[in-house]
Amino acid sequence: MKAFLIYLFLAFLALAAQSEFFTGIKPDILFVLVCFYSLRYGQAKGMLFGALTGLLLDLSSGFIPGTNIISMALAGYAIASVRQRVFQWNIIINTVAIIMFSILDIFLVHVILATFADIYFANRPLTISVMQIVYTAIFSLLLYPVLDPEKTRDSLALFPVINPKRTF
Amino acid sequence: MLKKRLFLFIIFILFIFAALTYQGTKGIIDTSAFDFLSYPLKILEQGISAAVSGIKAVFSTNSEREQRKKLLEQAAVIGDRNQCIETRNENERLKALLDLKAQRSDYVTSARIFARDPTNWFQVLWIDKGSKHGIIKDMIAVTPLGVVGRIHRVLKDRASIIQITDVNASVAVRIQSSRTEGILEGNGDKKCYLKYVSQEMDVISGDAVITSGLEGLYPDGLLIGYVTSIIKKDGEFFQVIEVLPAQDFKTIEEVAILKR
Repeated sequence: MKAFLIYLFLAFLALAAQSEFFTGIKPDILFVLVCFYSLRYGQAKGMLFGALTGLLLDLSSGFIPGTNIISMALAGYAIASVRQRVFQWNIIINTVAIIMFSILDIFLVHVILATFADIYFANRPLTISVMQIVYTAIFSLLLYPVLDPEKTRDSLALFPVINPKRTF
Repeated sequence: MLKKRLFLFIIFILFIFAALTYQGTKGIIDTSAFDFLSYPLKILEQGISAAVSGIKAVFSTNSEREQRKKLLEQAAVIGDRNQCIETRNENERLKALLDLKAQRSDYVTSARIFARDPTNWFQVLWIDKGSKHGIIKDMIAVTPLGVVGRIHRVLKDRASIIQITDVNASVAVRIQSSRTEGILEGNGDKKCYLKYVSQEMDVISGDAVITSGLEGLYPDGLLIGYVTSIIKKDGEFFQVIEVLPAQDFKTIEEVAILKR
């Protein structure tokens, strides 16, 4: 619960940073946070965190609430599912996975907005999506040492958790 | 356990799809619960916005190098000087808005922008005034330099503006010199496209584009921007005209709200 609240606070900070500091093409820092949280805490918790951050993103975006709830929840679920099937997870696999899911996320948002809100992005240059993915990948590389999803719960540098049931 | 979770997830997804479908037809659901959830974000964004303005006051307001050098030399007075320059700049902007208020009978209020859309999908600005200040949906946001957009979502104490560069924005416009009419659509980035202008019409780069008022939303005669390039393709009836808005949306800080 403590980790969830800390990640939620980080999500608020990321959202404010995306709104205030980036006036041009923005990285999807929230997406990176959802991926890192899901990789560490699994499908169910990742999906819940994804849905909540998606709701925050929708509310601050000013458009139809729901699009990012679905896309973020699915991203959280999917990346945690992939993690279960990969034996060795490292910074390169992590970055490649985030890039792949970032592409899928963009595609999914396109489909949802076109289907439910009749919003089409025909005029939108492709470079926006490409640069968004590049920036997101850079942020995932920068955040990996801090939020390393490979560290076990006991040895987390950022969020240490003491297991009372441990026997020696 | 897993089946139960999967079942709950499917129910959740179906609920969101139902909510999306409802909103697609009836409009956005605005509940106080949503307002409550986004309240901490508003506080955080307003705080960061104030901090960014403060940092700008120290570093960015002096665009001229000589002025900056002098200020650096006078380290003791740098804070006061920058504060004065920032205040002077703000006064100039507000004075321009007041002039606009005096010129236009459809003026409603002026508002400060405290946040921008955090995603790359939409070009939305959040202002610090809402329904309790008399703002309603589809009012027009302008600056002394030109049109910014229209009000999309209105909450009690804030509202969102869809910029004219947003992919959802479309404005009936005309080219000021030739009176050629067309529809302006945003490209989701910095520019707009003027569409449905016949290839036979002569359009020159640098022509001013103004609102025509034909869609019944924007008042006529407001400056939108200037033609930057013209694309004519063989075999097509219309030409595509690229328009750069007169207002730089990255540096905008205050807007005036006009009635429809």
